[in-house]
Amino acid sequence: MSSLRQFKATDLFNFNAINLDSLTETYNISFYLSYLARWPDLFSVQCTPSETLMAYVMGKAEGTGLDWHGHVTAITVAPEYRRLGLAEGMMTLLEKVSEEPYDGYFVDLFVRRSNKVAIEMYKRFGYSIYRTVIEYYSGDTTEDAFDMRKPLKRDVDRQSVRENGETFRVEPHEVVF
Amino acid sequence: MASTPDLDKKLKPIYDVMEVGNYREGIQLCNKALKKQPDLHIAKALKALALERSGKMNEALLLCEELQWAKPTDESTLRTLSMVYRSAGKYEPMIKLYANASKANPMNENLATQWFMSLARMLDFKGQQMVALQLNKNFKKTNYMFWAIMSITLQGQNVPANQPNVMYRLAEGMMSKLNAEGKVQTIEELQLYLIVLLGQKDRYADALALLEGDIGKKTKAIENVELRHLRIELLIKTGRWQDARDATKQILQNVNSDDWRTIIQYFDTIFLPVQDADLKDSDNLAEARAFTTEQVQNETKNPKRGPFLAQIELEKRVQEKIGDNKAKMLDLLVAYVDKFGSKTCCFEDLSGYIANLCSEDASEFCQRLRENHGEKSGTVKEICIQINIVRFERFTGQHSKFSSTQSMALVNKFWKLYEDALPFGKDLEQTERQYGDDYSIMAAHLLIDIHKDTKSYFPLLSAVFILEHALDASKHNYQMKLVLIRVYELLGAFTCATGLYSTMGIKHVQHDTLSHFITDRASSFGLFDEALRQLYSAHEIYHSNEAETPEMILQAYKYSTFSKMQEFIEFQSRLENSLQKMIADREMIRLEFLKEDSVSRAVSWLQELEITNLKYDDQFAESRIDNRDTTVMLNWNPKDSPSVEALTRPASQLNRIWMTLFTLVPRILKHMAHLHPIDAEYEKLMAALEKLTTSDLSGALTEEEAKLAKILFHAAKAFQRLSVAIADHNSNSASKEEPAKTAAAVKEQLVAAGALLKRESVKSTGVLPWHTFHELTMTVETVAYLNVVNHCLQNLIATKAAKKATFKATGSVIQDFMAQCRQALQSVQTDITALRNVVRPDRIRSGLLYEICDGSAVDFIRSPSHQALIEEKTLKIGTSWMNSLINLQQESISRIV
Repeated sequence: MSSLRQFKATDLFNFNAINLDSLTETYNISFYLSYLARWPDLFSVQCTPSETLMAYVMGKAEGTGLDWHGHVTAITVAPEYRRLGLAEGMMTLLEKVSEEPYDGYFVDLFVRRSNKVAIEMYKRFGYSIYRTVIEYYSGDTTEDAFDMRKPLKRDVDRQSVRENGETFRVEPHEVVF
Repeated sequence: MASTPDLDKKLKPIYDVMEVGNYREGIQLCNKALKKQPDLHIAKALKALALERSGKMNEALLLCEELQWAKPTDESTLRTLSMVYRSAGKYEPMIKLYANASKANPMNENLATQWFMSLARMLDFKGQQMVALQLNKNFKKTNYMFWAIMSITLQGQNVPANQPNVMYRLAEGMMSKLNAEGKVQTIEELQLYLIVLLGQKDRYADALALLEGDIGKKTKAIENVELRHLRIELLIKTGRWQDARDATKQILQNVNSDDWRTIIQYFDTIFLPVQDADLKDSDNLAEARAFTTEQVQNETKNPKRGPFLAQIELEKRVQEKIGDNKAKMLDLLVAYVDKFGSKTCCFEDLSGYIANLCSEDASEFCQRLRENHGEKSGTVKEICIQINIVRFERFTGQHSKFSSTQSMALVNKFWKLYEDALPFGKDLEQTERQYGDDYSIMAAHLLIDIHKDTKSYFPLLSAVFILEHALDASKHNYQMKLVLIRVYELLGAFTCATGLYSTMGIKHVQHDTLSHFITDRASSFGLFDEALRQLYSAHEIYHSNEAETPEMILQAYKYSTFSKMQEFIEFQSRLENSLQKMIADREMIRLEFLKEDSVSRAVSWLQELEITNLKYDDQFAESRIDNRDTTVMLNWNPKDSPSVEALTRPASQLNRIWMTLFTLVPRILKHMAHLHPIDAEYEKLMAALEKLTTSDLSGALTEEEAKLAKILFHAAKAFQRLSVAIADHNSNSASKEEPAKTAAAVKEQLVAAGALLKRESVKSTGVLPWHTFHELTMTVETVAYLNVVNHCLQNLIATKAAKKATFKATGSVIQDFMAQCRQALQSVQTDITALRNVVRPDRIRSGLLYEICDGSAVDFIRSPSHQALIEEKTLKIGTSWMNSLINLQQESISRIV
């Protein structure tokens, strides 16, 4: 039971239950607000009846030609509210919005190669690995990312996905749209 | 000075060195260029930028000001100037500069746009309106009309809803004309139209017509989550019940069965059209029961919680409106736990409903949970259900009835359950929480209860050990950290609290909402530098707000995201007027003052103190916005009892009264430091301070803070008396006072202050709680203020009195008072010397540590395997105490005058 609605700038005052979790990074004001200023419908939140924030997803629309697509920049669920299907609800909405009004060919997201739980979850949602981005994550330990994609209605011929995507290896600079 | 190949060639080397951050060379190159061509604006602007980047803000701003006089019109100069002004947080000058340039080049679209943006940065809505209309006139783009309409709407947004709103009417007129011309085309433009309509009284039907009309269809408004929700809201408001109900059912059946706000709207369509008296036999109720049942039946694989809670919500409403529904409610609540009891959020889902039950029903609920689930903890699922049951038991007040001994038995039970749950989590990732973590947190909550009951600090120490141990297995559990931070503060161990806080990755906007956990009364631990460090790092968010949020407002214009404009402005305002910001400002002034340990430096610091922003009037105080997050901390206490967050505050939450006190203190002292004559302003400050000292402050200030207010009031009265007497004598006024009378009056005030300064020496019971440090720190701080007062009193006689000898008697009164201040500091030192003896590591080992372990009723403490941890943490607390004491001792020694 949760209300799925668009994220508001003032939600930033109430997102601590989510953002205090160590896996969720807190960014500066501009980061969140620049997404809201441009793609307000791709930034959604799930809240409890008392308006406690449980989870949010932020996304954008980018690319040109056949690469025009919705991108999941961040998706996160507070520890207390995991395994309730909240992520799925938010992903479904993001995919819908990427279709209408954005009319993209696919939705994509990057995930750490080691994050098996997440990869399995995205596969359940219909995503498949499109390519491996070599050492996409820097920091203490560098790690490869999987670029995972799910085709949308507009991609009639399913050109945005492929078998054995894992074996297509690219450098990080090649995935900038 | 338009860009020419020749000019570009001249500037390229400058841009090149600036780009790589070589600002020194940049400045040199600019100087060279300016030598050849003194009126080369861009070179001057770049020099200003290079100066700003190398930290020479003042010089940079001087150059900018010079340029302002020259009224530059070329875009690159203006852009560069704008960068300098922005980083200085000055937005005003750019308005004039762009206005000027745009008027000189009316057909330059970019300059006019920049003019609009410079106004938008300052939220000058009226100016925006004018420029947007001009943009539209000159460049014929509909988008500029929407900018104008947005600017007009923003001017009207603060008009109360029941009053005629000229601005909204104007905006509506422009909007409807654009719509008639078919120029309203995007969803954001439609949203702007809706804002304009719904900002006016009773325009629901018109807004609905718009949503359902051509433009709504064209933009597929109904596909947008927010507009879909709005449409149903409007259907309800206009009484189109069937349409509203169909729309909600369509969403719940086909899109999202879990969507709570749609479920609530569905119930609105059921309950609003029917009188309560007719509800029982109404078709509506029958339909709702059938629909919710059907929805529940549809949840088969991975069921969502929404439909099940909808049933509970329905029966709760029936109970409220008709009654006689308790048994059904209870059945549903119990069944919900049976189904979702293994989800952490089960407690939160139901707590609102449980809080509504009478106490018998609440007990029956818990009893039935026990009957169904016993004490089974053989699987992860069972453990989670057990934890939820325990939460409900606490929430329904079962723990409140316990004696300390019973509570202690429960602590031991929870600890055992925590340990038993550990093996189930051996394969969990490091970033995940252990399944039994909340047992350890609840054990801590019980120990906090016992502390409150018995006033003993040993339960708090036990809570530290248990949570620190559990944190080892769940390194990132921020809930444990929050409790630990508070308990460490209660225990007076500030560096233990800051150590943990620094591991929580609290940044950016969280500085506003969460820093109160570490900065509230942080000055009371005697660690002034550490407290200041915390305050300054949290304060960055307010600078970011000034620098970043206006740019984001511009982005929203750039992308025509009108639906977010008011939100962004509200966000900016909530940070700008944040109560926490104001509290931090005051606390920083206190601590900066305390850094000046010699009286003469303290006096000159006060003389230089900028007070234009140090407001304390009611309007200012009441318009502060409280963004502090106090709900993030777990709490299962009964709904009428204080939350764990409230229970673990070292003292009452900082508030507007506290803010007033710590605004008046520096302002009054500053007046004294200047030896200004007594004027209306001083009297106003004194009246405010007097009001504070005579009102009941028990809930707002600590005893020591209230004392400070009184002491300072007396001292400032003495200053007033002497200052007036000297002025009268100098002017030989008819009303001048006998010198002996002045001395007696000054003495009366100072004696009163001196009496309040006396305190009993601190007794150590092995633990040095927050209050011990607060008492000692406040004494040092009070004397630091009094030193300034004494200095100023003496200076009044020395520099202002025409005949110093007249005030000889007053002089010796001051001397006596100074002796009392010295005594106060000496007593602090005596206390500290005694305390330092107690907290030496060897003493802690043979004293406190022995007491902790000797005959403890806490199983955790008795276990041999925990002895190393207990010793380590106790010594760490001891080290924190020692740091505080050493610092405080230095602070008090340096203030003996």
